[in-house]
Amino acid sequence: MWIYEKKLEYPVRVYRNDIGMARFLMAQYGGPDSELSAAVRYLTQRYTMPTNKAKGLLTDIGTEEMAHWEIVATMIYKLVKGVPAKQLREAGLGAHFAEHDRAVYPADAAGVPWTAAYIQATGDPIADLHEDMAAEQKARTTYEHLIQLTDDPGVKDTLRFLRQREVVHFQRFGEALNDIQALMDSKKHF
Amino acid sequence: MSQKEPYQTRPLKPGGGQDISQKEQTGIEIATAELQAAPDYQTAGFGPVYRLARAYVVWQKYGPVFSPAEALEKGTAFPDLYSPYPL
Amino acid sequence: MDKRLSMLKEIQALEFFAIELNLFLDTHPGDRAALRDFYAIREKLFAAVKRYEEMYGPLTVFGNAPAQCPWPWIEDPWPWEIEYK
Repeated sequence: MWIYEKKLEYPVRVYRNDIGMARFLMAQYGGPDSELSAAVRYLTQRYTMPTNKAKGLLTDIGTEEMAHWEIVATMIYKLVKGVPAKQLREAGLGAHFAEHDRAVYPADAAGVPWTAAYIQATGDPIADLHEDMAAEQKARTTYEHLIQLTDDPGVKDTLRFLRQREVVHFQRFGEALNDIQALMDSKKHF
Repeated sequence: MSQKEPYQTRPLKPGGGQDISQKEQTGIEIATAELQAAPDYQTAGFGPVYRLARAYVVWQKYGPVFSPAEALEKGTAFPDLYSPYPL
Repeated sequence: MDKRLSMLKEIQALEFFAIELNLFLDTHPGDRAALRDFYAIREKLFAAVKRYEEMYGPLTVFGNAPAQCPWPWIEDPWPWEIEYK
């Protein structure tokens, strides 16, 4: 089960409103390679993993991704806080405002709602771990794009933190893959 | 010792076409013998077996770590994994 | 607020270190050096959390928070509202 801790994993600073950036950050909030996709993917795949290392790792990284999802939501929340509706409309968030006001609704930068079609759980641990490693690389790449899109130093720092986490997660999934492949090898010899 | 090898090379059986030379056949048999003697590859950091159509990631070894405050700022406790995005 | 923020940041740094070691230990469960550092950071983290919770209320509930009136868990600021500047 999950217990919530009433603090962010990282101290998120946002120095000024930037509605365009809020829209781009939706990619990591409700898009295909978002923290939400990562969290649901790992927490779903963990049920059918064959090793304790993989079950533990997918649970823990999945939980950390939920914390990152919260961080992205916080950035979006702060970036649009107090901005009048007219300005939101001028910056291209009119459709979002009409349906959601300033609520942080899980959709991508184009407004497409999040879907489980963004993830897969094949039941095959090799396939699943490869998908996880690819997901970490895609998230890292998206963060690099987002870092280039903003000048706000607080937002940049937070995005750099999140990007570095993807690098570390990739390493861990790779180690879990090594371990499962070694297990499969040992099973071939009777 | 295991009976199954990851790669099996067998001596070519002459038939249907030209016979392979005695020297070639011996060379192939030697290669097979060598593989049979050492089917597992020892590669540092990869564990006992290293096969085709597989992906491997180098195992991280524990070492010096950043202080907690620095780790939070950088996004990792491990200098080995720290890869700052150039800006 | 400044004191509260600096205590919170201390907890964030210590807990992040613990999370990072936690992930390492998931794939290296026998690594004694990592376990040693994890043990050391746990002590500091628990002490920092205890100090913070005594002054500013609980960081976790579901049985972890003391019974106080009025119920402090719901009090603001919530994490997305905190200004870290």
